[in-house]
Amino acid sequence: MSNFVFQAPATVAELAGCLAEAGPGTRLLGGGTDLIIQLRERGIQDGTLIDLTRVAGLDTITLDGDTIKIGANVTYTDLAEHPLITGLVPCLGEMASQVGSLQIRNSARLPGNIANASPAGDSIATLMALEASVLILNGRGETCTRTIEAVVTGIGKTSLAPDEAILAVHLPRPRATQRSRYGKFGMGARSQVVIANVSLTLVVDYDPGRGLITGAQAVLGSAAPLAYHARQAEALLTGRRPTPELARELAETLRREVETSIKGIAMFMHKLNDIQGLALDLFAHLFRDVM
Amino acid sequence: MLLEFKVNGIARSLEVDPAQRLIDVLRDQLDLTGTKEGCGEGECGACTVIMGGRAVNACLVLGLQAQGQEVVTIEGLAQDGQLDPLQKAFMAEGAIQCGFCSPGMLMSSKALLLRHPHPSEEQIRSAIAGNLCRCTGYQKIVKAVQAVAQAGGRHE
Repeated sequence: MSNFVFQAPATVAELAGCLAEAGPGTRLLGGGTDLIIQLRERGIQDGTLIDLTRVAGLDTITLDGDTIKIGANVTYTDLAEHPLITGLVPCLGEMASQVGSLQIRNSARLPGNIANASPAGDSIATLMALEASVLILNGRGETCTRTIEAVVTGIGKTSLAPDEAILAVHLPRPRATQRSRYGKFGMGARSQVVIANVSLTLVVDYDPGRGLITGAQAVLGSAAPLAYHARQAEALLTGRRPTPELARELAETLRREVETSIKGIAMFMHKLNDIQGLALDLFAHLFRDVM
Repeated sequence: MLLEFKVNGIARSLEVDPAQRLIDVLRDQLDLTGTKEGCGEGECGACTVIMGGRAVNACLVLGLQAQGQEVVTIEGLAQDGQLDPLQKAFMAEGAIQCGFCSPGMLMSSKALLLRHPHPSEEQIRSAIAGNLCRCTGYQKIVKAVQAVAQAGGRHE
């Protein structure tokens, strides 16, 4: 028999009550696809498990004014299929549809991916590129928002206190001129169900009247301990016309940025090839109507 | 703690340890040993069951998270003593070799057909991408699912 205390709050108010009692041995349980493996690997048999999956009202995706609000219990399957996501922020839907297997996507949710803060966490880079923030509840029943960068601070490290839980992920509603794409290269023999070896999220503003890219976010995942903005690539794209030549320049610029971030470690050298292929693919998809 | 849920249409009420996963509850407490444990970490899909209409890895769900849910396991596919059309098709197409992946493959396929009665081959392959067959019998598994979809959910 384990010594776990299992709590399944049904409302946000009840959740705040559970968080008020939270200590170092308290763990938040979402879809469970990471936590259950961790508990078993580490032989953890005690502490408190707060199951977030039964908290009412956290399973919707809504457009509230200029903010897309994604509740903590929205699964990757929900994300990948929801018209607000596929219509307004396609890169997020593409990311969600490539996480793990269908069984994983049916269970896993964004907050767990954020809170686990893996360098290979699929969602973090994409959320950075979309300027996401996170709605957080604490044990006093107060809420605050923090940017994704302020939450994920290192490998497996976050700024979340033991009495804090993620209630939702917020994205600014994109401008009508925004286009976005996500891609990853996985490692291993399978074409699906792979952990990202390197991922790229491109979010651009494209002015069809002038035929120019007027702004760009390019965020790399799995290329460093933390996902990061490829600033040189973002600068390169801004003010330029999308052409095959620019795609090649982008691939080369990203290759150089990854070369810097992997610090010459031999086992990561293949990422230099992978990122160039990703860049060419994503750019071609982003601008296939005008290039 | 008390877990109340439905398994294969039957209401169940039992005491479970919070550390028990859904697969442990199914196999060890309910004797539903058709659900197999392979890797225990969501890579192989042998433990796939349908919960709330969706395929999940029973090794990555705590038993208590099934509270109030409807769960269908491989034992729940046959109706009135008749195998499910998918089970018949797996047999007819030779989509079973050693059989260890079969319960998971069948549950992933069943979940797919419940949501998409006429899936494309790509959808079928994506739906079973989380299920490993070490006998590598994938072609025949895809064919079996296609046969059922083409027959409008029937298979003789």
